[in-house]
Amino acid sequence: MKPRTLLSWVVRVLSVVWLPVVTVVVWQKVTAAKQEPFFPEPLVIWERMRAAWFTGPASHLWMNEEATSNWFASLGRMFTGWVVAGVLGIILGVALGRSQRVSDYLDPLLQFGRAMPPPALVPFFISVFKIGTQMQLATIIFGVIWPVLLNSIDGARSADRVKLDTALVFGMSRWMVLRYVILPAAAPKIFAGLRLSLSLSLILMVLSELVGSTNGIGYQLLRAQRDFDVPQMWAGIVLLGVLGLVLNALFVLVERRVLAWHRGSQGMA
Amino acid sequence: MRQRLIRGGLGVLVFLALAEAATRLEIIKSSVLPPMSAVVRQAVLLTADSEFLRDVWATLYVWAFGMVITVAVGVPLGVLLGSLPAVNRAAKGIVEFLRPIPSVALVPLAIVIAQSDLGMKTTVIVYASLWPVLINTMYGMQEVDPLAKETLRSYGFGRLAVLRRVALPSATPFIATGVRLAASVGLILAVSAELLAGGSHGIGVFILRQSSGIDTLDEVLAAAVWAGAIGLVVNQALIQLERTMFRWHTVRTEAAL
Amino acid sequence: MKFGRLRRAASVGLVGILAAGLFAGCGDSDDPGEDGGLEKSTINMGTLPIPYAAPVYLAEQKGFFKAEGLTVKTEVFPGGAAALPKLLGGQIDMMVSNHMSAISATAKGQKMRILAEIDLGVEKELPVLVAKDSPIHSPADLKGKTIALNTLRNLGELTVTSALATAGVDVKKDNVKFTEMPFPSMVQALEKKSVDAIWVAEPFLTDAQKKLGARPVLDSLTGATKELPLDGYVATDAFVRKNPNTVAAFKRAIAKAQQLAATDRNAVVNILPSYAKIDKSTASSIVIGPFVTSTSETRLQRVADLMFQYGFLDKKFDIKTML
Repeated sequence: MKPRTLLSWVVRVLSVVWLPVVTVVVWQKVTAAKQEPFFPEPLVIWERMRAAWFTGPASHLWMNEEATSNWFASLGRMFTGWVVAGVLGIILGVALGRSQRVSDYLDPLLQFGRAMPPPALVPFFISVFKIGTQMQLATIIFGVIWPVLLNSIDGARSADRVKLDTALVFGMSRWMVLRYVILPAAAPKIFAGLRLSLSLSLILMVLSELVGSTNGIGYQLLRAQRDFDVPQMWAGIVLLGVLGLVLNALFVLVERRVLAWHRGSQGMA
Repeated sequence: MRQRLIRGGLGVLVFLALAEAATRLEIIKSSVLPPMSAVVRQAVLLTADSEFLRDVWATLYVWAFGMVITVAVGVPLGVLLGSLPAVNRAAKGIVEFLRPIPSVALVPLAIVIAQSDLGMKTTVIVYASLWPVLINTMYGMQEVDPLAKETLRSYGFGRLAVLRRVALPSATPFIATGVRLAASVGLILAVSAELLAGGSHGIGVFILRQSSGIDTLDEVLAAAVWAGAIGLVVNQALIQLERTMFRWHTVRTEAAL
Repeated sequence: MKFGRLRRAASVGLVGILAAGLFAGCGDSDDPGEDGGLEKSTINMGTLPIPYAAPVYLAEQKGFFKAEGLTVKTEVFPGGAAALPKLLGGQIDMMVSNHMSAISATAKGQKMRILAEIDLGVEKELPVLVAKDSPIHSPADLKGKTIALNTLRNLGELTVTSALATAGVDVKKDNVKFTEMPFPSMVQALEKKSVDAIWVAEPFLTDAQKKLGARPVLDSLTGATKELPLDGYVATDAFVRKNPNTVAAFKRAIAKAQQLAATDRNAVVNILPSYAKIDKSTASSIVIGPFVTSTSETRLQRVADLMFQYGFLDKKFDIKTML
């Protein structure tokens, strides 16, 4: 790397990280000086996170049993819920988007479903589904399907009339029309929906683990709350923030690739 | 429009009938889930229940309070971050870290930290609904036509004047979309906070109170239905408002989330 | 026989409470309310939808609070876990809480005080139930199973852990899992076999037995937890220090109500539907443990010792600091 580019790289990194670093340092100084029981020092929180989760071997990235078992349980739930909601949402959404009639029939119900606060439905889910994984997945799916569904409807509707007509003139099959015209047109909207759903699924995951769960990040948070363990609660919150940050970054990466690929294929079509 | 309404109504009726049939035909045991007609009946009865109406007002009150604060904080912050790229870059890390933290996970802490019930609920509502407003405002500020900005600049207008005359007006539709999204999120959070933390009044408190009894699922569901209905009405009203206010603006902002 | 014992305990206890109240009043003589005037005449009280909150409502109904110049505003919380943060945050002044929550919080640095005891656990009051056709027939069958309770790391987990230990089951080694859900959901959860067993209190106990024919496999209040003190009136240490006369007045008023509750089951049963979602007929048939009329350090120390023994506290805890 040439010194010039290295320098500009350093400047760029600095311009991004200086404020977070300053914030954490100030936070540390203020909390250390005040010693408020509800606002532990960042160092205390970090120490707690280390003691609770990072006492394992290096080969496991220092994660211990407590961390891996609970985190994987949570992430498994979250991804399963998100993927199922995503697949259902896209299929239903694209179908509804192509049929004005059917979506007219369903529109009020969909809008209504979206407006229902998921926690208010927990008593309902408890009575209909088996508590545990089944109910948790139901809660997550119900909570996160709406953005994908509504965005897919919108996206599918936005497919260009001219392109559609052209495709028909060229005698493309329905499948090909879907693949080369409708999906590429809807993709940006669908991805926006998926991304929103992903961040929602983190929320719903925690929510679903607050009732009838025997493991998971939400379960740990609940135990910490019941134990009046304030630093542990903060540790859980910080963990969720980091998790959300990582998930979002991963999603953006995938989105860029897929959308670029789609744009390419769209150009070819 | 009229046809859409009729079709929508039909869709709702068919759904209700199917749900009713499911419990009547014992596909779902009626001891597990009350029949839809019982839920609808309860929902109607609730409109005459002064206690419940008080709960609804309590929820709307904290929600509205939370919205005012959200807008008061989110819009200026979004304008600041959106118009100063250096600050935006520096704050990005913090925003990206704070944004995904589920506000339900904050409820236990918020209960203890905030000194009053209203304070706790407002904190949770604002925390969740701040992001749509903030992000949409930032997005709107970045979308400002650079030509218009430069033109004003070259006529000797200062930074603030440019902000007021060009940037803010052109960002307003984006801000409006952000506020609408925040409104639905905020209402959901208001009910959720009540459910998780209790309190003396609120739709969520009503649900908690009722579900502490035996065989009260129909009332619980009826209250949830009202929560959904209120959310729906608020959302539709804001969409209408947006449409009439910014007719010229093609809505393509939702992707900004 | 039982009532005879209770009545005796009651009259002795009343004197005890009055004395305690007196001491509380005298001890803090450097406080502003030296002349006995109330520092705060309105008390915001958090209660629970359980029979043991009855004395609060009885005291209100019979005018015991008014006689002391107190106005008590009650708010019913679904569980102690929801109310406690509000007490710590100062949104309520006192609450009905089980002793264990108060001890946990105090040990974690949120200093609280037990103003008076309410009740003792009684046989069959808090059993672990299983479905009628469940393969679980003895405590030993609970190994590797999931038990639902209303609050994790609280009374249910402690008493079940202790009672299981008495029956020779080690919760950790034998992998007994606990899960949290509201009492009303438990009956359905058991019906659908979402959980293997439930730890329930009244009125859900009676409901589960009536509806599902659920049967008890373990009484969580046996062995080391027999007649364990369960609930009390608690406030934060800061509140007690700041308002000694108000606290003393409250103690005097509630002692009368405890006395009434201890001797008159009907009074409790009749007032129960006014604050809990329970109908009269269920209320009259439920199991209610004895109300006490005195506060005993030795008795309460047992709770702290059990908590330490089963890992709910990091170190030994002296209950005296909370009285």
